[in-house]
Amino acid sequence: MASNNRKTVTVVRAGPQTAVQDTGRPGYLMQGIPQAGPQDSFSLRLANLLVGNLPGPPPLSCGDVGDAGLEFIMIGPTLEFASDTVIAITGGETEPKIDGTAVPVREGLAVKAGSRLEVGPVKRGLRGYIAFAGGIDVPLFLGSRATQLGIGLGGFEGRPLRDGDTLQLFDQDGVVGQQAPEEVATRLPAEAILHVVMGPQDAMFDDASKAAFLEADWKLQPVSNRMGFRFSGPQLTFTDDRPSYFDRDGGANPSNIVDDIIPFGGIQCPSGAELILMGVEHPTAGGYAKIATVISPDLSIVGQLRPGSTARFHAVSVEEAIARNAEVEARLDALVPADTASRRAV
Amino acid sequence: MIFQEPKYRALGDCYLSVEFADTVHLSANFRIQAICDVLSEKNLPGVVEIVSHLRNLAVVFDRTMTSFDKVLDYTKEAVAGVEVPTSLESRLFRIPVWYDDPWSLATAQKFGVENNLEFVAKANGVTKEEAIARHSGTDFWIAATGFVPGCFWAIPLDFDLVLSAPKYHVPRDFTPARTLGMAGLSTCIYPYAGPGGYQCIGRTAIEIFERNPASNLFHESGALVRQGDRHRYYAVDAFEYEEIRNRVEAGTYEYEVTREAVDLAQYHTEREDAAA
Repeated sequence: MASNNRKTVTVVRAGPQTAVQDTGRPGYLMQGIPQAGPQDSFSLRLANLLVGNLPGPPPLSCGDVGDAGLEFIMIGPTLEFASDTVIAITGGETEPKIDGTAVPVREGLAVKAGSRLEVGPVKRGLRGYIAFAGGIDVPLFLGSRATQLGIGLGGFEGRPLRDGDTLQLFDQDGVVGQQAPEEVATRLPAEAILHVVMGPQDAMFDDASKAAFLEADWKLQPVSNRMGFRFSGPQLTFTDDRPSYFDRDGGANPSNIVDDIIPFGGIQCPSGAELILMGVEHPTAGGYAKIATVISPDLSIVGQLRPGSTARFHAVSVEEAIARNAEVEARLDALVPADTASRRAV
Repeated sequence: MIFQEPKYRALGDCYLSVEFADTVHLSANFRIQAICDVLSEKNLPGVVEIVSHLRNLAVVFDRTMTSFDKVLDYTKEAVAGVEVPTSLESRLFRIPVWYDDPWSLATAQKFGVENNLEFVAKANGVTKEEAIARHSGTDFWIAATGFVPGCFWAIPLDFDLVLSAPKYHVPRDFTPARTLGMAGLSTCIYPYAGPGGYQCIGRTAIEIFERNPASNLFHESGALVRQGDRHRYYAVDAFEYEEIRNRVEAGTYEYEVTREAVDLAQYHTEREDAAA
């Protein structure tokens, strides 16, 4: 229902993959529907906080869904604004320009009607985020505006944006000038340490392989997406006390199990030959041994790894994982005063 | 085997998994589904979703609202307290399948493996015709749903008619929409084209995932199949397949579904775990 007095944004150049995301749709895993939403949840929520929007909760939480913005990969979009609004750009490092003039990232920026934002390439990290005051107005699917790109559900017609698309924004005044300092606002470490809780099938791997998993540098492969991130490293091998009925019921490969639940962040090891780390659009169950599960706050870091870069895994207890999540959430809360979000007129 | 005591494990910081067995047992699955229903109805604070599957269930919890220990406590309490129903109301769908269809054969050829149905038949020491007779001769229990939106795991209720087969050694990056796949003891239907590793043994003419479902047989998400449903697959030939497909595409196909109480107790007997 487009009307002329609505706030709109025209996509001049979409870039390789730019899609509408809010904090996603937890609660439908049993129907095979992963939460989708941003791979770097921290950065999208930060962008929303900066412009005075509702950030929404971290992945797989009970809280109300946040406002919808854009997630882009490698190269940001070029957008033209039909009316005044406020935006913020976060995530991977970019050097955006408005009407040819460089503008800061991680700051609520006033944008005038008729102006053009050119985000350009991501120089460090991989994924960037743009929030717009009020958020993007696309239909809700199962309570969320997030795009599940894998089979095309939700978001803007279930697909990445194309040149010439027009986005509708909810009409809401934004907050201009709020900033988040780089050292706390970005999570783009030179060497990524991803914390994991070991299991559920770590016992299937021999001791040398369990040790190698935690010691090796794992290299991100280009065939990675929001469903799964593939890493190469040492060949992992399995213990030989596998029950014989596993061949019949699970599959003949030593990495096969009888299918079970795959969590967000789970690390499958098909044939022990590579790791597949499950992203925000992961399959909800499957039949390969999972050596460990990356903890939820670190999945934002995974979203910023460039193909060819390396990561290491570090084992923690579930209690430590929950404490780490609380630390990251506290960092987000501290960056922008909590009352900002309540300015939203409902 | 079914574990003496269920295994409780954290999967990262968002899930508590309760594992009841390391392979498929109908009785364990009935128990898992019953526990899932009980836990879901409790609407416990800080619980995002209860997910049940073939041989485990997961409590997805909000780590900012509750603690792992609390989730562990009330899950253990529910697991201890749940009685598995002996009977429950279940939908039975009759699903037309063109077994040994040309798309499955083309898929096998594309990935350099033999006719998948022949492979399954050989693995079970029967002819292709006997394999079809077995597969269409029993009701299947929907033991789990998921993998991708709309997909499911169906297990034969009559274990005398069981077929089993290994997965592809190298998973496919393509499977035609509506392909009937089977691996281990499970049958699935790929709702739309996508990757997969199950043996392709047939194709159904009907849709099991719809983006804007008109029928209330579907979930709001577009998925038709629910845990605790039953399926009966029946063989159709090329002409019948085309005729049904035409009705599906014209929007005039009516799902063949009945609802009745199913006696679970009769299926509680255990099969041997040891390889045959």
